[in-house]
Amino acid sequence: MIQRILLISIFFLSTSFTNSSSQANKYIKSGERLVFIASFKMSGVMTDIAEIKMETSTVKTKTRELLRLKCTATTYASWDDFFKVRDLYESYVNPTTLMPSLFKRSIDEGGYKKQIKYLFKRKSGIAAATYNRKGSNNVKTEIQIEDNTLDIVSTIYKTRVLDYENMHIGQTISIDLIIDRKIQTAQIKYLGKETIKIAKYGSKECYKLSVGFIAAKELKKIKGNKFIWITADNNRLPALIKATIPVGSAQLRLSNFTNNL
Amino acid sequence: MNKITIKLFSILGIIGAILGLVFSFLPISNLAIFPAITGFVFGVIAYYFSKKNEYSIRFSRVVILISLIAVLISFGKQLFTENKVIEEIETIERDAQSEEDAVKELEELEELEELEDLEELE
Repeated sequence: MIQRILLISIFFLSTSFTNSSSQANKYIKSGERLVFIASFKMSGVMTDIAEIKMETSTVKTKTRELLRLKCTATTYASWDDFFKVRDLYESYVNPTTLMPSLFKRSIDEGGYKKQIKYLFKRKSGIAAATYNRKGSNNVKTEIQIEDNTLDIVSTIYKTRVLDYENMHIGQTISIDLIIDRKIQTAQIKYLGKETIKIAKYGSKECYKLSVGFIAAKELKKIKGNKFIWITADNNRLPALIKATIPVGSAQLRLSNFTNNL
Repeated sequence: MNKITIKLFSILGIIGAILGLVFSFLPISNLAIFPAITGFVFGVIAYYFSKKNEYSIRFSRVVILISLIAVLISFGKQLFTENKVIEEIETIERDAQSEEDAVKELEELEELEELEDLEELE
């Protein structure tokens, strides 16, 4: 169940972009920290299950300066004895274009461990994937990618920087991203502006989006309505994510935001 | 109300009360309120009619008591328990190691791309 919520959370946050790949990032800087509460509706009552954190920091290599986008999912202490989750998702991206060079995923969900890594070789048009499950030997494959193919984490951030002001209501955009070593297409529909209440930050005007997926075997299982609200300000915060799934509904709500700039 | 019906209420009550008590100790303690209140209502009905018909009220009292304990624990946990995550050293080390490894991998990628550029030039 927690896996499903986390999966939805990530998929939700990982929505839009395709034609906007060239759009420069002017909203996401190093030092940003977002904290979310992941909840699941059980018998009509929302139950908080885990904390999701999204952090950015600068990483320097010999020749470049990259932005490290880190997402972690941690179950609350009360759940740890029943189903402990310690997930880490990272993407190392160009700070201006948010195009990833390296994606890493290390999950530990109720004792089930898995690691996946994609090294984006843009010039060759491939992503070198390394996959490891439960400590077994590494499995290496190569995935054909397009110039604008993203990973799940960079997509989350790319979604935030899109130019919604110049989109019309009902406009749909598609993005290609790698999920579980396959290229998937996410479709996002812009539904207009809506004012919602965000924890201690009060009411904020947000861009409302609905999310769908094409030819995604695993994602097709997640049926029902899926919505995301992104604040219509200079912070572009993913304030709320809601999903209905066959066994109930899940939501991710922003609880804290800091920017060390 | 006859004795069998009162017993039925008592049994349904004790089931609700015990379920409520079990739930109240789990992370889903906010759900304990539903079976606990059901148990409490059945317990009160069983108590009322047992007393009216001069049957033993001991069992229905136990049902009411367990239900109340479950409700109190559930409310108490919601009021006084804060959602907290445990920051484990293992996880912090994993994050740091991952970043360190990533820098190495990125530098290798850069070198590879530089070599490819050189080959193209040649």
